Amino acid sequence: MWQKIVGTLIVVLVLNFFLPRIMPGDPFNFISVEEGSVTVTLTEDQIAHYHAYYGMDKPMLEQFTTYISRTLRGDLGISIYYNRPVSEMIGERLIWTLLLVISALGISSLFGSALGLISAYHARESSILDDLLLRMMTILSEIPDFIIGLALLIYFGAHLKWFPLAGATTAFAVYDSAFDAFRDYVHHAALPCLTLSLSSIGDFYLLSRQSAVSVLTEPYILTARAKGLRKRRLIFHHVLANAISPILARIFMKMGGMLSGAVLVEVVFAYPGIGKLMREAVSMRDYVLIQGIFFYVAVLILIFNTAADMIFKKMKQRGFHEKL
Amino acid sequence: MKSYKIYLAIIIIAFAVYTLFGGTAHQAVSGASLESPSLTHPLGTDDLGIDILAQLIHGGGYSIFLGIFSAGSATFIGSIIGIISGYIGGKIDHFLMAVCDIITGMPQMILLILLGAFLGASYLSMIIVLAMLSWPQTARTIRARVLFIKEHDYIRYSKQMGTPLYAIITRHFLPPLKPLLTLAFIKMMSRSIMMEASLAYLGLGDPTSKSWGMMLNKAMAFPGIYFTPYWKWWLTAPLIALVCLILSLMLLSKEIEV
Amino acid sequence: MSKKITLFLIISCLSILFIGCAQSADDNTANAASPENNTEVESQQTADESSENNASNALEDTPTVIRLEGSDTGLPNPFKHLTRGPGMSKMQILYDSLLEIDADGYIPWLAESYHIDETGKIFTFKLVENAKWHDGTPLTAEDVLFTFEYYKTHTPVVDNLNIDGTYIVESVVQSDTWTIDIHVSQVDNTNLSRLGGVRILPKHIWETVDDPIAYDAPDATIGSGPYYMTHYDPVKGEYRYEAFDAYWGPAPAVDAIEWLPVSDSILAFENSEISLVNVSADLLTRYEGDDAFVVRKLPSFHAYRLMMNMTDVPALEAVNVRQAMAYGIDREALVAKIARGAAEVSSMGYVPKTSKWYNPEIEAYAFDAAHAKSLLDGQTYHFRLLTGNTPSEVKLAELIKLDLEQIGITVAIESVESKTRDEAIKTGDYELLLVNSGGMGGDPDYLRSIYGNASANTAALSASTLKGYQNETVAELAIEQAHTLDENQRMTLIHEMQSLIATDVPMIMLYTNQDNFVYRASEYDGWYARFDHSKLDHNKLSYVVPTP
Repeated sequence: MWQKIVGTLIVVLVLNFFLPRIMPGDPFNFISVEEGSVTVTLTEDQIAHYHAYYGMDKPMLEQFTTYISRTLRGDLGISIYYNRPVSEMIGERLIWTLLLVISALGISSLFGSALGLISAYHARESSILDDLLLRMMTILSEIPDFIIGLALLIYFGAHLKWFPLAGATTAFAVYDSAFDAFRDYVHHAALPCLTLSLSSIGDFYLLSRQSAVSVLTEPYILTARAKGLRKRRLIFHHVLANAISPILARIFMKMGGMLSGAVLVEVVFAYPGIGKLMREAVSMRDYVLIQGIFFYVAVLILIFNTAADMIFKKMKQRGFHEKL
Repeated sequence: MKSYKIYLAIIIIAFAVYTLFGGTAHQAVSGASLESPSLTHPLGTDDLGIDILAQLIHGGGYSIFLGIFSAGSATFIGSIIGIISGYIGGKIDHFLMAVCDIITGMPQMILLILLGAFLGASYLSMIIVLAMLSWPQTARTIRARVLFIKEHDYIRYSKQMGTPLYAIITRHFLPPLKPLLTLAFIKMMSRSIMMEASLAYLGLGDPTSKSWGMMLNKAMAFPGIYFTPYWKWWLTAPLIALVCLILSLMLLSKEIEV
Repeated sequence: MSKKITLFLIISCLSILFIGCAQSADDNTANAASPENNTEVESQQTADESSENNASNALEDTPTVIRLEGSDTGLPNPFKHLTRGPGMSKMQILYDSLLEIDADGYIPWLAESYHIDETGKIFTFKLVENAKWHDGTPLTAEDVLFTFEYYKTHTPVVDNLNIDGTYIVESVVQSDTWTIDIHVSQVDNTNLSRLGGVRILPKHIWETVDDPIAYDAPDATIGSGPYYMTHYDPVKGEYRYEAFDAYWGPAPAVDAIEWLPVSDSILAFENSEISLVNVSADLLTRYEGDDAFVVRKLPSFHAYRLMMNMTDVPALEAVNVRQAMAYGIDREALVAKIARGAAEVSSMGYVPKTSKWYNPEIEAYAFDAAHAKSLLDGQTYHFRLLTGNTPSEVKLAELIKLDLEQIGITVAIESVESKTRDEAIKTGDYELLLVNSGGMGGDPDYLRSIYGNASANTAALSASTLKGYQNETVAELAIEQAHTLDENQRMTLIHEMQSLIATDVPMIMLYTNQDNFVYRASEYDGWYARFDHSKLDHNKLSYVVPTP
């Protein structure tokens, strides 16, 4: 496991440094303007001045060693475009992304597995409920999340006006109480969170349904049922106990994917998360910021994956089937 | 024949017929800007006056073939690595699986944005990027299966009899792996199509293409599209087509799975 | 069978959704007439609170707030604002300059009067005497002197004082508390605008700052402008400026200006979340007939242009090929299709048609495919066309490709990210290149930097980027006009330059976008248009009460 962690870190550091730098484009070269916008064009003298200021005039290798030693010391540098410390910028935004991802995962794992259990409970009687749920969940898990997000935005945001269209809080809000602040956060996070939940709920549903169905067909369960144990009791005692670890592991695994996958949803809802920042950093060729975000997210994913691995290991020791 | 198969067949045949007869209507101005649907333009025209149905037909082929090529190369790389890793084992297995782990452990979407911006958005680089990021999944499943097949006696016999590695792979491994590979291929195809659409939405796709993702992007980038009636045909057509395509592929994979 | 049901289900779900959308669009139309909703009330409350804090402002009975679409454009001071977007104008509201710009030209501002001596090298500025910094310290000539010395070693983002690496200010002499003489190294028609546009810094804050790019203490936004900053949230892109009561000059027109993030500016405008919006041509009809709205159409000072690499592509060295392309591209159609009519075909002589320096006599290059073909004389060519990846750039490239095919020039479009394309302009790694660029406002001296082999300083595209263009006469005229102080004489020179440039076609000027601003007159109608800038919300005079 350590090997894997160290290997990933090395690859991240190397990719992180060289990929943005071999991309064509200079962060200080502003010639074109977007429609309806303006730009200040820097002169050649200024570009040279800024290159020197950010140490970009030094040989690549020297820059690389400075980068490595700084990163290891936890210094991610100053953003070239925004002129602000990168770790500060990431910190401010990561909170919002984590808020979205964690609450979406909470909602989808809870409802997903509950629905899965309900579905499994009815599965053997070839019920319409199970059939319908299964179909809906499979469809949901296949539709790209930005399409779900757009649909929700247009319908609940623009049409019904139930939810704000953008941002994470009301602009210039002064809250009377902590509860007010909380309500505002929830109001803004509702749609993006719902989008992420809908696109990941199918996964948890299928997982818990599958594990419940497989447990329900085990010989010892059949015996237990023959002995007159109630099915509902069975579901709670045996099935739930069996399904909790794989669901937990799945939560950690998904967390990593969703952290970077939330980009699209954040763009749809103009949510000030890490993904939106990344998109801007790339188009501005802000090397320092790109590196910082990539590094942060990669490390977080590494932590989550390791957690998932550890749960799997525990499960194996306790004799669970790996297919769960 | 199932409806989704008919749908897939329609997309491919329409594209083939359209291309064979040298259709250029997807890039030629053939009407006024933003015409509503009519007999000459069944789905209307976009802001340049290009027929939307023609774009849809061409884009369908584009999207499907993008999926086929990237999924094909990912399955190819994945299966080779999976077989080698599973069959040979030892240090090579260890190394290859570590590479898999590292690639799957990367922030995929962020890497996709970075690579998309770096390699540009041509058809080829799109395929390369998508294949590069999705082969490890195939490699893993194939490896697990190979480890299982390897234990069979007939493999051991042919090994003892000195059958060359290449022959063992083609004769003994590929046939039992076939259903698994097909399944992986279709799943990856739908994933690639979805990723292309997502990248296009972020403005990182190939803007000169008429892929469905790009059509969506262009329609949505039209300022204030929801305040005009144009979205009814310009935005809805590729959206429904795309969602149906992804679901058709899903149904297809479900059928193979069973 | 059941799968059919599934597909049917999906399609019907989608259609329901879209019916919903259709209604939403209609809904908004209805809403436009009566903008009443929660947001309005909320922001009204915010405004109330702010006026309590700021009770001394007795300008108007009801507190007024201008709200604008916002995004993070950096800390608004001369060193840290961002290059793209309205970063510069946000900074300019906080920081005053010696001269300001109105609809016709330069007007006295911090300098209540100025004088240029007959050598054209000494500029005397007499400052207003009651100017104060936002922290209450008086602004004197000492600050101005400090500013010009500080910028010499610490370059601001907008750098107007360096030409080809030389600082134009030779020395600054303070003659009394309010008067200052600036000696420049060379006579140049742009000197007054360069010196007058410099943002004056408070000496007491910056004299101890060595690295202004890293400096972000709370006093890093203290200027002398009509508003001061009370709130800045870089994550969300929120800014709030409040009126500076002790402002020396024309009174601030509102109590506060707020920039806030919106997801769709048009939706936000319809919901009265923002006061001003720049809409596309297709949406103009929504507002034009309605008395509640004011529509201002202003040509921007940017133009799409097709650049040609005359150094590396031999075919493009021939003037007939360049002219043929200029005739062969239907620029009217580009305006109609891509800008949806909200644009104007640009002059091939570069100077915008709205400028007083524009020469209407030059070749107009009206679309003429037959003439283009005859210029090519049966020859066919193939070029690569590099473009950015925004939808309009790609569409533009596609239409140009179709047009050029008609005259025997095939084109392969290559679309890249805008940074990659900008880099190609610099390195020359292109054959044909499409770019929307600015540098067309203000003094026509920009012709010198683009066509005249001179400094890269004034304009967005510099001479070195017009790959392979060399015309001695144009270069001579460019230098001559810069030192000609007599306006009529200079006009003749500029006209001549335009006509030579139009004949040479070193780059094909396509069209200039038009900005369509819409606002509610009942809310705020002080929006002001400058002679060299089309964005109403970027002009300082939009936010102060006009002096009669």
